[in-house]
Formats: sequence, C-alpha cells, structure tokens
Amino acid sequence: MESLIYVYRASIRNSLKRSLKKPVTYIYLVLAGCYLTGMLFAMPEMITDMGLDNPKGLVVILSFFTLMTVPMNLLSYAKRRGLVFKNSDVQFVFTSPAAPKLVLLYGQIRQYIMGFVFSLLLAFAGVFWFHVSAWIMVAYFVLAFAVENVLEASMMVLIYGNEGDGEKTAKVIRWCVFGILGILVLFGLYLFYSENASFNIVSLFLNHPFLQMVPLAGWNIAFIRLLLLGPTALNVACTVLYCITAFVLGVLAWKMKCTGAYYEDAMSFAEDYTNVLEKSRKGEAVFLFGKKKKYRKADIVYKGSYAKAIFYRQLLEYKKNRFFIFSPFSLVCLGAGCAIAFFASRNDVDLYGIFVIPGVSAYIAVLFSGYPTKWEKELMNPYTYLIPDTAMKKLWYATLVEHIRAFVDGCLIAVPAGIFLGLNAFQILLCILIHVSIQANRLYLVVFVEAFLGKVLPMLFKRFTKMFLQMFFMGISIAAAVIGTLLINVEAGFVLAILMSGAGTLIAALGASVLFERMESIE
Amino acid sequence: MLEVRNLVKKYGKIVAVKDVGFSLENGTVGILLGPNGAGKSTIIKSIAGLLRFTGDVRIEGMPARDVNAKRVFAYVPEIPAMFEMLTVREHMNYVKQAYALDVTEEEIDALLERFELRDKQDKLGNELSKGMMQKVSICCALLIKPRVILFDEPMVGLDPMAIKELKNVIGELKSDGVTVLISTHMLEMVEELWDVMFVMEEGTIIGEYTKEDAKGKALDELFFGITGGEEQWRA
Repeated sequence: MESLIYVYRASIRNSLKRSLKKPVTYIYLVLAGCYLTGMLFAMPEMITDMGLDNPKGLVVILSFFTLMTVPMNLLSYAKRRGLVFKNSDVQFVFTSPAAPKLVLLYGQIRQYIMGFVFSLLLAFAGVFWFHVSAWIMVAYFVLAFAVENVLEASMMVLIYGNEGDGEKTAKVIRWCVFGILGILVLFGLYLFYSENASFNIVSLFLNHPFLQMVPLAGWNIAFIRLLLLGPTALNVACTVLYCITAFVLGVLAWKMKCTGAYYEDAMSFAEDYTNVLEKSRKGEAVFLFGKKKKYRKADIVYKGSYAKAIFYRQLLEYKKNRFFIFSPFSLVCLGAGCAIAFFASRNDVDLYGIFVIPGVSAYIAVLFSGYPTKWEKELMNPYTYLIPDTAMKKLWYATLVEHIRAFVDGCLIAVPAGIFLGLNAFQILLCILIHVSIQANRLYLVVFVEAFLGKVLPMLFKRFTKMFLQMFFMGISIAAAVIGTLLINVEAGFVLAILMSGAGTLIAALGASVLFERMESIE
Repeated sequence: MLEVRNLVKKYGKIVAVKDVGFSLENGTVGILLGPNGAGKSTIIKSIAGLLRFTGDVRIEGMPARDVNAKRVFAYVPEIPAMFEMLTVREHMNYVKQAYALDVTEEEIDALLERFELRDKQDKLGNELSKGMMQKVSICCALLIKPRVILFDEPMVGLDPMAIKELKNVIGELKSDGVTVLISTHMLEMVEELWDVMFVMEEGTIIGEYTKEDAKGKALDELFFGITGGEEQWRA
C-alpha cells in the first residue's frame, strides 16, 4: 500500500507544482474564493428561509444525499464500473505484487479523501448552521465516516473481488438494488396520491419511519437519525442492523480470497475512461456509463468527388447510427415543440406568440452548446487536409449534414408549436430557418474559438467565450427582429434576424475555414 | 521458468485462445509469432494476470497470480501507459517501492543513462512521446531484475539506438538465466535473439521450432513455411 500511496502523493504534489506555475490557477482560486465566501454568507440565510436551520433539517438533507448515493454506488459496483482505474494502473499496479484487495482500496482513495473533507465540513456546518451540539457532530464525524466507509469498502471488495460466482452475486445485488429503488418509488407515489401534493411531501418522505426500514440506505438514515436526533426504538433497531451488516461484511471481505480476476473488467473500464477523458479534454460532452454504441450495416453511393466525399462519408456514418441523424438533442427539440404546443393550447396567445419559437431555439442552443457534432472531428483527421480541394468547399461539405440536422430539429420544434400557435406556413418556415441559422452560428463559433483561442485559454474560459460570442450574435439578431417588426411586420423582422444571424455565421465560417488549410492550427 | 498449460480464454462465445500450452526454461528466449488477431497479446495479458482464463500459468513454479510470482515477473505492454503526474524518476521510485527492491540510486541512473533518459528524468508522464514512454516502460521492467519477463511488441516506437540497446539487454537477460517471452511481428528484429519460436493462428499454436530445429534457416522462412507461405498470407 505504501507504494500506492507514494503514487498518489507524488501525483498530487506534481499536479500542485504545475498548477502554481500557471497564472490561470490564481484566477480560478480568486473565483473559487469569491464563490465560497458568497456561499458562506448566503447559505445560513437560505437554510433559515427553508426552515432547515435545526438538527431535523440536517437529517433531511443527509437523508436525501444518502438515498441518492448509496443505491447508485451499489449499482455501479455491481456493474463492476464504479472504480476508476487508469491504463497506468493496469501497467504498473495490476502487475505488481500489491494485494488485489489493497488495489481496490487504492482505487477508492480519492473518494475516501473527498468523503473525509466533506464530513469535516459537514461537522462545522452542523454546529454553526444547523445548531447541533459540538460533541454530537464530533461523534457523527467519527462514527458515520468510519461505519459508512467500512460498509462501502466491504461491499466493493465483496462485489469486485468475488471470484466464485461473482457475476451471479453481482446480478442478485443489482436486482436487490432495483427492488429497493422500486419500493422507494412506490412509497413516494403512495405519499404523492395520499397526501396533498406539495413540497412538504419531500420532507414527509425523508422523515417517514418506513424509510428507515429499507435495507442499507434506510438503515444508514436510521444511524444518522440516532446520532443527530436521539434514540427511538426504530432507529436503534435499524442502527444495530446497520452496524452488524457493516461488521459482517467487513469480516467477509477480509477473509474472502481475491487473486485479481477483476483486473480484466477494470482494464476494459480503464480503456473506456481514457477515451472519455480524452474526449472531455477536447470539450466534448461524454458519458462514462452506458453500453457501447452498436452500429448498423449501411452503404452509400458517392455522388461527387473531392470535398463532397466528406459529406457522403458523414452521411454513411449517420446511416450506421441506430437513429440516423436523430440524437437526444432531437428529442429535446421535439419536447420543446410539444411543450409550446401544450402551452399554446391552454392559453390565449396574442400576436407575439410567434416569438416564443425563436426564443426557445436560442435558449436550447445556448443550453446545449457543448454537444458534439461530426464536423469538429473532421479537423482532427489528417485525411481531411490531404483532400485536393479548397478550404471553403471542405468547410461547406463538412458541415452540410449538420445544417440538414438543424433543419430537421427546427421542424420538430416549429411544426407542432407553430400549428398550435396559429402560425401560417411561411411563418413556420421562417421559425425553422431561424433555428437553422442559430445552430449554424453555434457550429462555426465553437471551432472558431478553438482555432484562435484554443492554445491561449483554458477550457472553462473557452466555454464562456463561445457562449458570449453566441449570445452577442443572438443579441444583434434579436435587435434586427425587433426593428423589422416595428417598422414593417413580423415576417420582415424574422427575415432581418435571419440575415443578421447569417452574416455572423458567415464571419465565423470564414474564420473557421482557415482551419482546413493546415492541421497545425488546431494542434 | 514459465509454464503455460491448457490456457483457454473466451470473450463471451468467442474463443480467443484455445487450449494453448508451452514452457520456457530459464535463460531461454521464446518468440510468439502470428498474424493480427491470432491471440498473442491475449496470451501475454493472461500470463501477466490481467485477464480471466482457464488453465494454469506458472512463473518459477508458482501460480502466476501469486504475489510471490509477481515479485519475480515483469511485463512490458504493447502500448505503454504512464502515470500522468509522475516524473520518469518517480516511476522508477514507485517500482522500487512496489517490489521492495534493493536498488541503489546509481543503478537507476545507469539504467536511465543506458536508454538515454537521464536528461528526461524530471519530465512528467504526460509530457513523454510514445517512444520515450516505451523506454521508461522497459527501464521499469528491468529495474525489477525479473526471473521471467514478457515483452509485447517491444520494438514499436523505439529509435534505432534503443532497439540496439534492447537487443543487448535481452542478450544479457538470457545470459543471466532469465526467461524471456516476446510477442512480435518484426521478425528481423528478433532474428539473432530467439531460442524457441511459437507460431500462432486463430488462437492456437500451430508450430513450434527450436533454434536447433531451424538448422540455420531464417525466421521468416520458418514462419512462412508453417503458415503456408507468403501467398497464403496475402490471400
């Protein structure tokens, strides 16, 4: 374990040293300091306003977090994907003479440290914000941290390290967790229908004695209640069960034979994790959990050469996708369209109801500005630069599919919404075109910023710059729409907005086209 | 000594390695040859304890997953992966501690010098090129002073000087009685090193030659002889 702690300590030390050499770290520190100071002053007031400034309030908050984390952690362990190992761990740790059970604990070390810090902060918050007596908070800090971690580490070792019928055990645990979650949902629904639907239901749910009887998560809540609110027959009984479970599982984990068969799953997860890390460094929104994408068989006829080939290749890739050019973003657009339609059907919409659609389009464009598109990936591909065609043509054909996707997504918002808002076909078409222009704007700005500021700004600042530029162009378009509407009519306002947004898009596109000249510019 | 008996590795319904068995005596250099997807890396990773398998793998007579076996075993993977925030030197220090090695700082210096890493010793893992990572990977493996060492495509990414040095190192390991198993495509690189060659195809060993069996024939001649000639490969 000493060698593993050495890795962790040296990594943190080097990481700190490197960060302190970067000026941006100090900007982050100032921002974080301001945020924390703000929180420090705002939180007590917020807690008091919500009526949670007492031990019962703390219990409600802790119960909520327990319900959120315990089943999720168990599920991720049962899927053998809860621990994050890296490829370097595979090479240097898995092959070393370290005991595989210790390696599992090493995989959790970050969570233990975070848990320790969180518990420490909680102890102070408990005393100062929730008015719990200091000795009770100290007892909570020591006991809860110890028992919770023994229990969780034991579960993790037993699930990950089980080399007998580990898969069967994991499956049973998965179903048990689903069962517990099902019971909790049914209980929540029962309360929802039996009581008056209000915010109080949440408090009622989290304070209900039934909750304490739910194995593990509920027993954990009983343990918290015993420590913070004092004993009742129920919380004492459930706490005893909780501690016995922690002790028994701890002994079982200690005695269980583990030779490291889990390394195979951990290795495959390490590869996925590396890919996710790589993508997130490039600013893509990616998810670690979930099944690997499966692709269908598809073919395509290339009806053109040179840069056009990029378009057809992208189309082929989309045809291999299970949902073709549709993505979760399409669902968001459809949802937004249906929501506007629902709103319009229930309310009287005046003339300016037409502005709802572009407003929603702009809002979701900003909200989902991080979602990845295929064209950004073209810039990472050396073959793109080798195609004998002009940079502008490459840019156009690399983004054409995205414009088609934007048109389809625009239809998903504007058609249902437009019908219920009582718009005519031309107005609906204008709404779709506005959606396309907003998306085109986003499309080019993302890479424009990456090209010109990629090397200078860190990720967070790049995101802010992209968002700022996007909002800047949107602001100009909105101003144009207002002027056009006031001077002529709504349609003219929309056309003006499209023209202004188009001009912004063109500027960004021209800037972004430079990227197709040579790969060096994005490296 | 390395012994592999009845090794079977399945990925779901796909059998990647089918009942493979071989053994390598101390001071022997074994070469695993075969086309892509033949199962070479799967065997290497199984021996290194990274995969579940059925069968028996023994290092110096001990089960490969035994902690004592791991103390005398080293592995150089095909794609090296460094701890991002550890310097080259700190990688060596980690290995020293993880294997409880009695290694002096001078020995570490000498090893780094040999692979031209002395001036890079303060570079972080994420600042190294692939070739440099491969060199660090090799240095870490050699620091262990193993009795059994596995190399998975060790020459890929190395510069000519490092390849030459690695060949010398393998020669020295052999003279010191270390068992060496190398998986590679680069036949010409291991021509003068090998003692036993195992040719793999579709998860099984289809041929085994010792240097004595070869009677002076070149590796590629033997290899294509077993696998049915270059024409069959091209087909």
